[in-house]
Amino acid sequence: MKKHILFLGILVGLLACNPSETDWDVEALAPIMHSRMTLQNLVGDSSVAVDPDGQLVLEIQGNALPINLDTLSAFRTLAVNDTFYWDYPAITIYPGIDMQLPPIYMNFMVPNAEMVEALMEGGRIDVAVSSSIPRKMNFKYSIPMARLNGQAIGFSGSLAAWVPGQNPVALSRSFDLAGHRLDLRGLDLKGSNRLEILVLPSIAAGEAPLNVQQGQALFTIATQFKDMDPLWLRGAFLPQELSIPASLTRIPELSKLSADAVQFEQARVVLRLENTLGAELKVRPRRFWAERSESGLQVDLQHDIINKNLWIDRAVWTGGGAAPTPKTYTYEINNQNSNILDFLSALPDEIGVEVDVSINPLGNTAGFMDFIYPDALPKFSIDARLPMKFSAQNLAFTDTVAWTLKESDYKALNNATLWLKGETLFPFETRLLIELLDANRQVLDTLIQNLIVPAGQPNPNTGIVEQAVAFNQSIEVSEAKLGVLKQTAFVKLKAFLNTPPGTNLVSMKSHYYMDFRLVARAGVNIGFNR
Amino acid sequence: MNPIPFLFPLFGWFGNQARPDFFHDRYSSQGQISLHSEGNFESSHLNGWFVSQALIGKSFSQADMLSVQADQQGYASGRWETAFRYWGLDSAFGGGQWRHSLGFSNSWIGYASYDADLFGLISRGNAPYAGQTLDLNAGSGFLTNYQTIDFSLARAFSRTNSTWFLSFGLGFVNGSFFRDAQMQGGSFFTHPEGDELRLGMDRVQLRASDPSGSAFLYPAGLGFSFRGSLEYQHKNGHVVSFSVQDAGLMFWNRQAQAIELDSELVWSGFAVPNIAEVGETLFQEQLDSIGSNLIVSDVRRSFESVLPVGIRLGYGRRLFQNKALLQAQVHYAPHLMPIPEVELAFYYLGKGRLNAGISASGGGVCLWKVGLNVGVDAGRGWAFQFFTRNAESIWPNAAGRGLSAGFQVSKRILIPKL
Repeated sequence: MKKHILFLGILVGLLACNPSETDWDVEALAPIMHSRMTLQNLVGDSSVAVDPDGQLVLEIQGNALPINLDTLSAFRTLAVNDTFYWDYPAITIYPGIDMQLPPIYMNFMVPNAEMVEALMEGGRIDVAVSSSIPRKMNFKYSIPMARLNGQAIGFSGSLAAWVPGQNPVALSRSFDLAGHRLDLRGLDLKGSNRLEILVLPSIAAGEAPLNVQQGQALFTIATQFKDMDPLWLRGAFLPQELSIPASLTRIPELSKLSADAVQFEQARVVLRLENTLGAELKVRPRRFWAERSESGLQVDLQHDIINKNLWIDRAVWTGGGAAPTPKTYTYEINNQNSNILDFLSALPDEIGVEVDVSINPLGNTAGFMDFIYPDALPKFSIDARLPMKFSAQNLAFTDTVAWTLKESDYKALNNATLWLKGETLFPFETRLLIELLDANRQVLDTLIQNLIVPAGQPNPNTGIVEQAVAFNQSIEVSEAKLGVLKQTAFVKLKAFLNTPPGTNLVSMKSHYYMDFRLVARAGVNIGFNR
Repeated sequence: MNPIPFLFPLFGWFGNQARPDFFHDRYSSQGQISLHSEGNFESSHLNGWFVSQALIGKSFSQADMLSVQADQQGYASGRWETAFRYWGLDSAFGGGQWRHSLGFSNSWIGYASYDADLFGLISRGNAPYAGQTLDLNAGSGFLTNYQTIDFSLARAFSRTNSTWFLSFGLGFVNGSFFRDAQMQGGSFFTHPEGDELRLGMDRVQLRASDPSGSAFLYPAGLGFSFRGSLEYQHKNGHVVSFSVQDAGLMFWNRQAQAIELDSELVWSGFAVPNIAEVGETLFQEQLDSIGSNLIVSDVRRSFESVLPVGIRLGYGRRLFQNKALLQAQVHYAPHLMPIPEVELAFYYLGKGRLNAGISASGGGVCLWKVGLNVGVDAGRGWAFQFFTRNAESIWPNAAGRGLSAGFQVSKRILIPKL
């Protein structure tokens, strides 16, 4: 028996037997990637313009400071729950007789403004009526000053008799406010920031008379204004100082650049103040500064407008649904009237603004014809135009990308030699550095250290590089370096640009480029696996 | 005539298939069970040392690979078979003259015919060929695994001066794995400095069985096989035999995949439009694009393949009062070798229970080879045989071109006649 078991064991073992996997080393030679690098794609195509003479110009646009008014946020939502009690001595109410209830006031808590009219683009009113009267009741509900084509919001309805001991019987309705015009003066046409609701209940015909005691709860009317979205609001802004916190605006075009020293030839920045508000503004720029967020370096702008009161007239509005025509004031800042070159030489990735703004500093001079268009709020914007003619020391382009290769993708590599080769027209020397970072972005090692791509040589007469310079550099990637790659989570690419020392400013032309190609010769281990 | 009992390993190559142990007439009242296993790999230029190291999972250096390069069209074939077989007497056909057999076998079989440069490219990489355009000849290859359950009948027809032996059987085949590649031709160019690669492919067809599984007994396809043999033995010692093995078809199921490639590809690296915006998807999109440009068609569909049929024609002469046999045979398996294989063998029954044999053959996949076998009758019905068809590989650095080893264990058993 044991022999037969042994026999079967041998059989099963042989059936399941497979040869071991084997592997071998080969020498591979292949191109990895190729690209053309231009200044346009380093800082973003949309940010670079070309002058007629081929000069590249960096154009930066940004909203430096949008102004938000709390007038609007206060108008967005409003809810009132009103419960009616019988405040009079006991009485008998007969069917078919309307009960004269006082109006319900909906007061919008709009600070520093008395709004008298609004045209709604969106919004909703939810109404819920509940009754504690043990009789069938008829209701009429209306908001007479909220109208669409002359028709006020309102409804009529009936409520079944309430059964004592049970929940009050309820009735609900919703209204879309789009297109409605709200007269916020109230029924007496003398107020502001308010609407009134009228409710007219009566006991339905055929019901028994009702004896009502003083203090008895009769109805609850819940009204909610939701998602209020006015196309415009009209009224009067009270004189007020807006509290505007210091604002930092990012400039992504420059966020990947840094430099030990960079000097531009000229720059032009236009500060634009755009008032879309139906009110006068007094603006006092207290501080404009350029900031490198990485180093914390700040350079304050020095210009006449700093700490100066700028009076901005109100926008022009023809009423109805038409948007107002803003009043725009522009202030040019250039290297003649400011320190803008120092300001930009900091290569700011953020621009900070501190500004005081007053609305209607002279009071209500427009007779409740101030207005606000929520879709077009006042703003300060900056347009910068920076011709790319400069000298630079270690002008660095830095980018960090996630290293997405898995270990299995390159575990077969034993060693490698990379060649970076191509040609360049850039009139500056480029030094390349690639760092390998761990998951905490700490530097583990360098993959490429100080690989130099030479500068293109300008024609002495024109100062323009016309002939490309070829380069071909090799990089040894050892087995140890490949081991570091296994721990790499990010790769940081740094390109340092240095204009030739002692020369004039270098002008960047639109035809400048660097073509490069990465080729690898690597020992690769190939496995055989069925 | 008293047949010599050790002739069984003579036909070790197909002994696990349909052939009964005709020569054990003295045990005619007994059946037999046997376990047979053999691994074999042959190549036109890979030597036995290399193959043995590959089988145990060695990592080869570039120098190792340089030593096994082909200088002309290369061929390689491999086979790993394990079979269990039962033979019994059968009175249902001819009053006990027939024997019946039930067998189960598992086979891994592969074959490749390839251009020498293609082998160099795969085994050494493209760097040694920088600056060259390699013109690749047509090539093909397959690797398959299947299991067979077969039922066979065999009978001896005795005449005055001779005996005819006839056997035939049908098998049901389960296909677990199949990969097949056919290439009409192509070219490969590596720029001297690696700036560019150019791959030209002339109608490359790839076929694969259901890729979701390949385990033992995985049902990726079904088929049938036929085997048969006819042998004539004259009492003066002449033996003539003819046999067919593994004639059949496999039908791979609908999950199988057939891909056709026909294109010229120029690769100059990933094109990165903007070095400041390198993303993973950029690379993946380009790889996908390359794949879609190469593939002419990519469909999931059933297809059929032929089993690696083999035919043998042999002549033998008994010597020394039937204690020895000298035999010559021609073997041809068109799907496993470029040309037929010719073999000359001598087998001898020694004193006691030992037997031994030696063979020399040429043609087939490799140029020449030497086979050896030894066996022992252990008594009480047990017999053991050990053999190799590539004894030349025993010596290191020999010019051998293959590696093989096999054994068979058999046990005669008493069975009731049907």
